[in-house]
Amino acid sequence: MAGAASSPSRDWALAVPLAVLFALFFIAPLGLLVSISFQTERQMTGALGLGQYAAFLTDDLNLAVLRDTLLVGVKATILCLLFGYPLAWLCTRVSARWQAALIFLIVLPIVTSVVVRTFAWIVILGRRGILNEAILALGLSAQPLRLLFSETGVVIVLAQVQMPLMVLPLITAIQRIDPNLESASQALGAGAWRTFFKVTLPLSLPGIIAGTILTYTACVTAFVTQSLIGGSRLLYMPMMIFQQAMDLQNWPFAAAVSVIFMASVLLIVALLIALSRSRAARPYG
Amino acid sequence: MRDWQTLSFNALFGLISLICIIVLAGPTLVILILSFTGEEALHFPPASYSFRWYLALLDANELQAALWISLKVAAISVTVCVVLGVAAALAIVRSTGSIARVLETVFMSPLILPALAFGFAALMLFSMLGMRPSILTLAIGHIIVCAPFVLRTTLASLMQLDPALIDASRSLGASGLHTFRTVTLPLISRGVASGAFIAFMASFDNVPVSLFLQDARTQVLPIYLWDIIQNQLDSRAASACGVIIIATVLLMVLMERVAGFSRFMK
Amino acid sequence: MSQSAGHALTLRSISHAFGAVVAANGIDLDIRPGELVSLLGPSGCGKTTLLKIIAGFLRQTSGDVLVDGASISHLPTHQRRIGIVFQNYALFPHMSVAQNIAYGPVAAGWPKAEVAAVVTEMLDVVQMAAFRDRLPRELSGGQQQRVALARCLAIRPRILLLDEPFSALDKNLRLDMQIEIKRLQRQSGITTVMVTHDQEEALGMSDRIAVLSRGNLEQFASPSDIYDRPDSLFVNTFVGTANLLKGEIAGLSPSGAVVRLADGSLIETGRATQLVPGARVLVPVRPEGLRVSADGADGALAADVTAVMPIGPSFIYEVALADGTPVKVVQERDETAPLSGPVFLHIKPNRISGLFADLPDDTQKKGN
Ligand SMILES: Nc1ncnc2c1ncn2[C@@H]1O[C@H](COP(=O)(O)OP(=O)(O)OP(=O)(O)O)[C@@H](O)[C@H]1O
Ligand SMILES: [Mg+2]
Repeated sequence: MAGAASSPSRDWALAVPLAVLFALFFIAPLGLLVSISFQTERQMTGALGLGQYAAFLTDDLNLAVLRDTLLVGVKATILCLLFGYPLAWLCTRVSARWQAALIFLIVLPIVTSVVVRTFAWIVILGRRGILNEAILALGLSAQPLRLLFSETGVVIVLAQVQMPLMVLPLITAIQRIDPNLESASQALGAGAWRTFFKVTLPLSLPGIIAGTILTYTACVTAFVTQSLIGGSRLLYMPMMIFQQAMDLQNWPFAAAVSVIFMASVLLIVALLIALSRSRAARPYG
Repeated sequence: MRDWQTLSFNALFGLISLICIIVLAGPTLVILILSFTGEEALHFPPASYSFRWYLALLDANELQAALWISLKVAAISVTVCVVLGVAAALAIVRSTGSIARVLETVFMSPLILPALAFGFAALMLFSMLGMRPSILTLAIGHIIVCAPFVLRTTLASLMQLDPALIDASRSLGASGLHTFRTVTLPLISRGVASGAFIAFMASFDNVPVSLFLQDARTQVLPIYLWDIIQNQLDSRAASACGVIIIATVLLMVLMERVAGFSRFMK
Repeated sequence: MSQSAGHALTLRSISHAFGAVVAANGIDLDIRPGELVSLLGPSGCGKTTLLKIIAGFLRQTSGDVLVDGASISHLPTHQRRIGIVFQNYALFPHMSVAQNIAYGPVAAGWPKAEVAAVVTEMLDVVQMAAFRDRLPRELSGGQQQRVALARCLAIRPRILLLDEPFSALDKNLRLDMQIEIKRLQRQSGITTVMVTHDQEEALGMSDRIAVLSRGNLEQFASPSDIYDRPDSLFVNTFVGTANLLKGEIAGLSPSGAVVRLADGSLIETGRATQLVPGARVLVPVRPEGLRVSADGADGALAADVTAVMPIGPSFIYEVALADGTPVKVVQERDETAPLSGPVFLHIKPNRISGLFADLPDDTQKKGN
């Protein structure tokens, strides 16, 4: 591409419009967010300090919200992995036609509106929802279970809603594994389970990490699902930011909460990436 | 012994996959069936079926207004995302320096940063700039969160593009622009179209950013639906969702046909 | 195609470095109008780099490229009118054969009628008229190459560049295409530079060959000079199969030198040398410059047969000299020559063109 005339500087020009847009409306707002989080007064009088952070970090209730948010993400991600892995594995074992059909089915939820999907779960999990009627009809419980507005419900729905983000990278990773390795393992007398745990699973680790990063960040920030399924009694970080910012108009505190939340998410992503790097160095470890 | 292992392994993995498939498709099907209910209340399975809630959409003015706003915002932001995203992707692919990697990371980061925090930050910026919530503020917010989708698929298809084709075109006397129009663009069009489609759906579906950047006059559809689902569980919510589902599936089939887009999701 | 004929191409001390890697080191080439020149050398020696510099895909670190004496270094690729056929042909996959060929003329804004005319002409030239509406993926490798050639000739290029043009073709087709391209090149008289690492291809097709090694031009000469009178040990070993016999200079004469080989036998070499008596040397002999027989006439070397391969009408021998040096010999089927055991090795007259000083590996230099 680098013709004598198209110097590097001209190639660069093409990225400038988007870079300017991001500088103005992505970097600048995030910078503003950070700087407002240091305003100690709610009225933003200009007094600077760590007051808002202190206020958040010294209140056990706030810390519980942060912990619950991060944990609900962990639980939903684990659920996604446990159920998504076999599905991804299946996708790599079927004919091309079936694979296309399955991938279509997996991708469909991503593009379908989250509000729509969450709405469906309200109908399914409600007190008189499909699941409870089935449970009552089968006599598994005498009373309808509280599925909606419970953490269990939130975890289940988050897992379903974000499942594709886990399955798609897994499919890519499993497909990359040389099928000869698995045949070799079986030929050496290892059974299906042993082959899976010794060969397939370790070699698909990059996919697991990629899927985990995508799923986890999507789960902890899934505002719509968290608030529709969790209801007003379960409070998670995104809702807390929204309430502080819009209902209480406490921008400095909301900004501090946002920064703490973003930092926690980025920290976890960074840890996962570091884990994948250290693993990538010894793929057979 | 080995056969027993294979059997149990396949049985367990097959069973879990089956559950997954049911759980993935089930909720959408439930809503679709429910949207044809003939009853007042949303109860599954419906006692009778009808198109009454679909017909009711025809004079749901607020809902239609929200739909229009959403479509407008999505159209504007996807157009901008495609133009700027493709240009940026070209620049990133052509340059080898580390600045390109940094830019790519920045452009992709809206994918993992909490969108709600970004929406809030954007609200503060706009209010400092004295910009009131409007279609414009919504569109700007959506451009930022949708650009990564276009960038990702475009980069993926640019990587697949044989650089010798570009060289060949140049050596045949074609200018850079002519080469882009006649060689590069046609060959990456599937990636661009897929990215545009995903970006469109992401914008159409966005709640966390819109929440901060809309006002009463510019309420977007997903937030309007959310409102009625949370507050009155209006049966029109089901038929509205039905319309969205049907439109999404049709669009997806179309995009799969013309652009093979699910390939770009992996 | 007369307009495209006869442009001279000059490279004037072209150097190019990728960071610390020097891919071209002060290369000078004067290519005459209508010549077919091959750039030959091992992988990584800088052939593709030179081609890219000529085409304008790469800007050389220093030096100048001239066509008919005028510098084109400042011109971007699309203003150079230098056609190139890529190793993988780089046909536009979304365009038909005809559209591919029309690409350059359309980009240059030729009138429709002229574009149509040149497409038809080019399809005829490469005998692909029947395939004009096919897509590239519906063509065989050889057909794709014809289209690539036609596409490139359609712009009436001043110079034609071919990057490893035959490497993607199977062996039978390769010979056909070599003949075909040679014929087209002769017909049109277009100055052509071809990159190859296949020596037979270079020897068979070229008017002159430029042998490159690690970014340096080792020798630029006709195929027969390259083969029979290599300037350096590198050229000698890289082109053709080379036997190197170790020895030292026993005496000098106006027309050459006398070398004493390891086993004490004396042989005469053809070319004068600057080496002094007593210097350790390597004597290059091609396999076809040797003969194996059962009887030891004067000056024959004693050897042992290690292997014999009958290949068509000839035998390839591998024999070991008394000191263990392996030597390859090619000769016609000869029922009297033994297939194993001790034999005698004869050096045919006038088959030794030069001598190379026998130095430690890195510092090999030409010693004529
Ligand atoms: N873009 C590049 N960046 C860095 N080094 C490069 C680049 N292109 C080529 N090189 C180096 O320059 C040297 C010459 O490369 P070049 O491609 O010209 O070799 P070549 O003779 O064409 O080899 P081959 O026969 O394998 O195609 C090699 O050492 C190569 O590694
Ligand atoms: Mg090369």
